Amino acid sequence: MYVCSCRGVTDRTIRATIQGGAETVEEIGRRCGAGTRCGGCWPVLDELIDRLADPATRPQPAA
Amino acid sequence: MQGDAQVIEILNDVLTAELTSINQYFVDAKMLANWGYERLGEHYHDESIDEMKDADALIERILYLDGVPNLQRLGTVRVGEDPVEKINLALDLERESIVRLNGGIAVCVERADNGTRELLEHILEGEETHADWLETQLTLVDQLGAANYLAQQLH
Repeated sequence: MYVCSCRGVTDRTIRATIQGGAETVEEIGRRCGAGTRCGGCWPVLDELIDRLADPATRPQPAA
Repeated sequence: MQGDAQVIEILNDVLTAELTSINQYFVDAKMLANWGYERLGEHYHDESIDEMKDADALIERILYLDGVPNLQRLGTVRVGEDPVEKINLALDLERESIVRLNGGIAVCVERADNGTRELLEHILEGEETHADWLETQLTLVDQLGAANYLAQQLH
């Protein structure tokens, strides 16, 4: 499935990017381009990060 | 006529889902036609137009209830990379719509807004028919294999 229509990036690429250590929307954008234009796919990127990122290394949001 | 705030919110939620479906099915239709699956593409095109008719009725109803129709908001457009993935993603969308509409209808009954209830019921029947068609396609893919199924979608 295409998650980012602006850059034509699929969920497979994004999953691989997260599993390769990208654990923020910004870092995913730097590595594969997803979410770097309109930002409409950010909710899906967040969802994929929640599902796939390693909780041990993931930056925690400020309390 | 001043409508119930929660009913207007439900109508806008359903409108958001319809606007999302219009776009998803429209891009699906164009991609399918581009790949040569004219028959399947035509079906997606017609589904997109049907969703637009639903959006038309929802906007009219929201205005009738003195609400503001929200055409700004859009859900996630889930664009499948191949025909079978598109069918699966369309079925996800329809199943979510059916749950949303049934929930909305329950609120309309509780608030005694039978005009909105009737509209949502009409839309629900359309979504159920579409979900049923999508399930049939997936069964055919299972039984015939994707290649045989897709060979029937060219013309």
